[in-house]
Amino acid sequence: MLTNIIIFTFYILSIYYALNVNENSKLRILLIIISSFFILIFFSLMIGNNLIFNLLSNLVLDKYIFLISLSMYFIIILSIYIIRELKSIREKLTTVSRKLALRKTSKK
Amino acid sequence: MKHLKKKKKLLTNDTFVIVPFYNEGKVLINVIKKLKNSFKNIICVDDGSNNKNQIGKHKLGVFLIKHPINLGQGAALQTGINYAIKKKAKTIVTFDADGQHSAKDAIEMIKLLKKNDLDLVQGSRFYKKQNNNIPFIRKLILRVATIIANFFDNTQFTDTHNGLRVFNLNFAKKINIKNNRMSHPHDINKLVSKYNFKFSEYPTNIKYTHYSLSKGQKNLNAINILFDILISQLIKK
Repeated sequence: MLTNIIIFTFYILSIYYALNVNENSKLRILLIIISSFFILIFFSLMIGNNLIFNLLSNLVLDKYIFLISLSMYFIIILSIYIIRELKSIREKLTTVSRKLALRKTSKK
Repeated sequence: MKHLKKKKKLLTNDTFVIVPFYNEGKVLINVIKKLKNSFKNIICVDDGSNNKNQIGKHKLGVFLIKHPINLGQGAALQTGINYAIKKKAKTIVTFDADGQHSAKDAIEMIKLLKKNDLDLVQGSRFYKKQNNNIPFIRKLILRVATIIANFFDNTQFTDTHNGLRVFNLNFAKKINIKNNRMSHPHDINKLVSKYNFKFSEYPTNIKYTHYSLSKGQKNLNAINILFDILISQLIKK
């Protein structure tokens, strides 16, 4: 139970970092490290290495809760980055369109 | 005579009315004609309309800016504001193109802004308990949207999604609308608490016609607005 809470807190904290991280921030590096760590676990589970499950059982961690929360973590992180990227593209598009529009202003 | 003098004051070069529009027809021409009776400088921002607007044909003497693509009302307003600042505007009015707003209200709001040296005067359908014949569902959505927006923006407006507002140059310079779509009032209203701007509300008369209801925001759009507000709150880049 305690391990579940710790893992859950870990997820929440990393998502919080992802939400508030600025470009070129040191937190971004931390986020990359955390994400890489989870990616490694994820692939280990995919390959079917029992080592992780053994570790989980030693930590008294429900593997299903772990897997569900891991998947949720990836979905949330991925969504944040997609929304950010789309937002950035939209801002650039708006700036360019605005510049073009202001150049062609006429009095009618 | 007094009335004419007052009118002349409003026709000064430093007041600009921004009218963003998208696929508007005859109603837009009537709105501009009415505004032209009181205002000299009108900026019409065509947000990438598919149809050919009639502004050029009627020779209304307005500044016309055309977005190459449809970006949303928020983006159109920001374009208009940028242009008004470039033209050295001192007072800026935002006005909907669907004929819901009244030019008289805009004039009264300018007077209120100048008299009390305010930064923003926000039009409101609920200020001082007016009866605007607002459809029940719309009224309910507007109330809920106002509560949510006030919570996130730390403001106390009674109607956050009213398109009729008047502000001065200082306020205009701080506006940076990032929500291109209908959630743009969130970007404007939050400035009040962020920079401690002096503001007031003014009871506006909104004309709900079949046309304005069909052209304006759909009730279901409230979900999009809520989503945009939440996203902008969560992801601050």
